[in-house]
Parts: sequence; structure tokens; C-alpha cells
Amino acid sequence: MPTATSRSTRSSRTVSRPASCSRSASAPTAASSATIPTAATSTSPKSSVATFNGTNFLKRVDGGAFEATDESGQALFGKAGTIVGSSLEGSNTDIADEFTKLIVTQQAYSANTKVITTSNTMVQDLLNVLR
Amino acid sequence: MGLSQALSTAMSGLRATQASLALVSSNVANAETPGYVQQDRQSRSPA
Repeated sequence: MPTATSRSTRSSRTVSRPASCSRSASAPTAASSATIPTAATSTSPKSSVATFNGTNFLKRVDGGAFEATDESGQALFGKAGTIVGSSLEGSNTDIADEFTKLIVTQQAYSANTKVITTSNTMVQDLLNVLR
Repeated sequence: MGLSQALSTAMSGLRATQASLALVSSNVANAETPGYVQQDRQSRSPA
């Protein structure tokens, strides 16, 4: 029994053995042997950058996409730059959105200062109780 | 609600408003900065 567990841990990728021993070490090897063929068969989506000889002759299609035509030539891969992930080309601040938030903030400021003014008046009235 | 509690609440609201104003001004000032990611504010109740 100990020799079987040592062989299963050494060759964990090749053969999925039946779980003869009820140790917890046999469960991850069975799970990995089950997930490896599915990961190998499924193709993950990739995005690449292509260039065209006649960039101005691309056909504009729906959704901001372009289509290769006879004038533009086929897509040329490997001559363009690379894709930098998690970065922006320009700022994504929406000025109109910020100003609408500014209006809401101004109203909240006015409401809070009104509370302070009213409580100040109330304290003054309380001090004027005793004459 | 007591007077001091009302004052404290108003001061806390003013502080939150001030933080929001700083955020809005930072967003507007960096509206033309390349690569600037717009910051957002989430207000939540204290625990």
C-alpha cells in the first residue's frame, strides 16, 4: 500500500489510478487528471494586433470593427506593436458626470451648513432664555 | 436628537462632502491626463 501511493504521486499526470486507498492525497491527482484533457482541448480566446498595407481602404462594419478588402490587402501579423494590459490610452474621466456629482455635493454641503446654522441659532435662543 | 449630536452629524457630513469635492476636483483636473483612471467614491455607514 505505501508503494502504490508513492507511485501515484510520482506519475500524477499519466495514469489516473482507481482510489484504492482512502487517503486525501489521491483526490487531487484524480482531479488534475480529469481537468488536464479538457484544458488541452478547449481553445482559449486570443487577441492579436494586425496591420494593413492600405489602412484607408478598410471596410467599416458595425460595432466599430473593420473588414479587409481587396484594396487594403490581407492582415499582416507580427509587424505591429504589442498589447499592454490593464492600462489606458487616455483619461476616462467624464466631465459631465463629474459636474453632476459636483451639483449633488454642493446640495449636500448646503444641507449640512444649514444644520449648523440652525443649531447655532438654537444655542443662541437657549442662552437668551435667562435674561 | 440633541444639539451636539446634530452638530456632530453635520460636521461628519461636511467632512464626507469635502472628501467628495477633493475627488471630483482630482478627476476634473486629470481629465486630459493620459492614462488616468477615474476615481470613484463609495460612502458607507460606519460599523
